[in-house]
Amino acid sequence: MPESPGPADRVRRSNLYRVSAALDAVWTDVNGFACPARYGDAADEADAARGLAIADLTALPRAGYKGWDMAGWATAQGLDLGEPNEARAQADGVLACRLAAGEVLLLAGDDAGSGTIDRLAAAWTVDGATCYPAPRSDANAHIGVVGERAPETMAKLCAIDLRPHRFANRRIAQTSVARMNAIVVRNDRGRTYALDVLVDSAAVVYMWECLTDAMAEYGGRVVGLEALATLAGGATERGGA
Amino acid sequence: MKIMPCPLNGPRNISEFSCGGEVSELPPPDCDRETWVDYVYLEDNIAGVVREWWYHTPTAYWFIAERDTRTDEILKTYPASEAFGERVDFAAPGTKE
Repeated sequence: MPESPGPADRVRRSNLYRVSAALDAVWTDVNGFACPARYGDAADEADAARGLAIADLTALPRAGYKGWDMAGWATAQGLDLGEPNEARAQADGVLACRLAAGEVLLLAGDDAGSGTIDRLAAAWTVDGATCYPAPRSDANAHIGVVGERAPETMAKLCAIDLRPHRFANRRIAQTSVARMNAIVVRNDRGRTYALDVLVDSAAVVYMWECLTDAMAEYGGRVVGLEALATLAGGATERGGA
Repeated sequence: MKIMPCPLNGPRNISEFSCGGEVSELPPPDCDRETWVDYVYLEDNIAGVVREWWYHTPTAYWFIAERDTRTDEILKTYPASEAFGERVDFAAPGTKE
């Protein structure tokens, strides 16, 4: 296996990098951000993730905008916005998660494509601004909770009913998970149930521990970005190694 | 667990919220200092139906709830924009002299 560029060689890395390194992660580069691509065999990880898995997705690009006329500005930039607590996929795979009338969170897909995020960042200016950028990239950590046992796992940590028949794909719950504020977005990978969980980056090691503990009884495991991309319908172009 | 119906997020555990105190009418900008002190610091503390500010912590969302303080029953919740539709601009007291 070719040598993997480790997180120590990167300026940017997830606060979970020590956890992933201890699990012998094979790293990939996401815009200069070290991201666990896999920990073992990617195909095995994809199979496991159909049942239950968690993944550190913090390296994926994300952004946010907040302000009284966020919707007017973002729509003028071509963003397809839903109602508050609804997420909509854009043509390039970026997910526009509307958190409130005046707030949106943008999440890149598992291929790290960030066209919409880059376009809005280039369009935003201070002069005449009716909304302002929120520091989502640094302030939040991003964990994928994937697989058919994900709702049962989350039920131990969160009071919201996340079962698939009660929490539709692309719905958002902004709530308390393991007593931390969290944004939970249902974002299925292909036909596999999946949640994107965003929490304060400073406390992500705690959240990871809570999820690891909660998923143990269901046989969940830690997987890399490649497993999620496989579930979504195609392997990543970045090889990982 | 007591449930609070949040206008943005729907029914949620009360532990996700903080109470921000009574909703009271903003006094005129040129009122005397005693009126400002009353507005900022003093509450009526009514036994009965009150209008209160409530805050949903995970979303940093303020809204208004009508609650009966005798029974702790939440009667109604709605966005603050339903009560406060217009921006109020004024100089702070003491800056106009």
